[in-house]
Amino acid sequence: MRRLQLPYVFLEPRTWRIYPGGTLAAQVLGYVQQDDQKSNGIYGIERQYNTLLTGKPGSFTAEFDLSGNPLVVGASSEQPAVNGADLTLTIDSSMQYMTQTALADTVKQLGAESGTALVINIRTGAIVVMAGAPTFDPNQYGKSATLTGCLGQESVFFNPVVYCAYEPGSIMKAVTMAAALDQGLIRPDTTFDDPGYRTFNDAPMVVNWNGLAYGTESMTQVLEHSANVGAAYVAHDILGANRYYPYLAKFGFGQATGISPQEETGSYRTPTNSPRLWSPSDLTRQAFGQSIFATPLQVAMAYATIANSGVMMHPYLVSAINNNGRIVTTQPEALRRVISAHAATLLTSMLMHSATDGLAQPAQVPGYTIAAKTGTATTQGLTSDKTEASVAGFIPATNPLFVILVKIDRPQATIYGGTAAAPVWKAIGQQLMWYYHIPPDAP
Amino acid sequence: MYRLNNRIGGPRALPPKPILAAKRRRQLHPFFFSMGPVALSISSVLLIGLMAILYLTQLGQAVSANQKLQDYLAQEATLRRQNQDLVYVISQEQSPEYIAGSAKALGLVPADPKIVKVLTIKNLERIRQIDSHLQP
Repeated sequence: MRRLQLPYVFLEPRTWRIYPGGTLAAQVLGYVQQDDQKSNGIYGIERQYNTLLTGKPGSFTAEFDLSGNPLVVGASSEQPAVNGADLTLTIDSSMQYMTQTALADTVKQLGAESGTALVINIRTGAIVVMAGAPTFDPNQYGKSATLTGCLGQESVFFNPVVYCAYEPGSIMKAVTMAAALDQGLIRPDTTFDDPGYRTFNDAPMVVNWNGLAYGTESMTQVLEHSANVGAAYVAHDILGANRYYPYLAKFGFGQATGISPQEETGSYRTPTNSPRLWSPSDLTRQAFGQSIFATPLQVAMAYATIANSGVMMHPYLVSAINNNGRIVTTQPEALRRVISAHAATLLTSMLMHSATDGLAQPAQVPGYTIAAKTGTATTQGLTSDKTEASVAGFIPATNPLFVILVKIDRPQATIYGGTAAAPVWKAIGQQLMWYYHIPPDAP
Repeated sequence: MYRLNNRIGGPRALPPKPILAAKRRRQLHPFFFSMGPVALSISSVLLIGLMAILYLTQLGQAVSANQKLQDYLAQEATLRRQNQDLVYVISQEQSPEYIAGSAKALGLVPADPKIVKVLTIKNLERIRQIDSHLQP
């Protein structure tokens, strides 16, 4: 337009939010709805920090000469514009891109409805990667207005890591074991008889996901086999409601993580919060991650706590805010001790076995030790082939640095956590180790 | 001869006060009051002309400075826009998607994890930097 030099046509500069990365971390950033009057952050960081990012428009009042130039000698007043603050996120753009690409490819290959991936720095609680598929381009958000994510339940503009609660499935068995280990009620080598099913006098029968009977089975093997019977036995017969639910609360389930003001908190029935609806059946099912809703962030934070010697860190996404020279840096914050360091160490070794001898084997990264658990959750009312396949774990297991969670919603080509989500987990883990130059730790 | 004001400690005689009106008349009589009307008019015209020239000169300088300032401001706005464009180009070209696309266009392919060999060297000790003694 400028080059055409059209007569009586003037170009008026306007501020316009652009996203050079396109779809990169779009669901984390959100977008700015822009019109002639005002621009407003609608989703994600843009919404959360809208006031800070917007700044203040300035004004200039002056007497003008015939050419339209303001007169220096005339009376004038100027109110300078205040720039919006600069936010630095904890997201690593290279890792984010790699994860987003791998996740989108997997969702497409497996014919899945959607997917989520998350990487957290265990020592600080900083979010390194937050990815969802499908996603959108904030430069052209209007084109994605009809797209949905999170199993069609939410608009694609919502960040599924924070807003999409799901039944985590067998990933929760690690939390059940954590509660029992911390109270000294079990050891990794504690055994029980697993005939492939278990009846309870006050709850429906629980069967293993593959119907197999493992006979005498240690707690470590319960995780290796991902045995529902073993998890239900620990929750119902060893822990009981009074000793189980406080740990769900301490791990942060059913509570906001504090990362976003409108985040989904998830829910689960307890004898206290649902005295009429709760039954021991809830307890036996929650032991293996059914009848409980949690966000991917909550699940990943639980694993980060186990990896961080039992201390839960506060997850955060903004590492620094530079408000016109005033810089505020986020300091890592330990929230609370959830389990003892000893219990965390025992559980880490159990999860390492789950990765070397159990269903999480496909997630193994050559040269590195990992501690991981798979999850294949079904939803009541849907056929059993409609699963939410996931893997959660940390790497390197001997000196944990990163927690990775991958979740594939309703994959068709393969429906299990170990086969659908584990390859992505492995790819992310491998890339993390290379990218951050972490020396191999596998013996 | 003995005078009264010569007395030590005696009151001094005050000088006679000038008449106020006469004093004011003297003050209000600068030189041009003695000029004739023609000379006074010419002087006034000259003075007004001089002031007008001075004013116009100042105004001209101000307008010129204003023009310059506007040019600078316009230049600044242009440079600011150019800077924004460049910032956009840089951020776009630094985005992983662009880099990956460029790498692909160059014929590069992602590293295959299967062909990466991990060598474990037992009892490896960290090598001390040669110039470590130079560091403070």
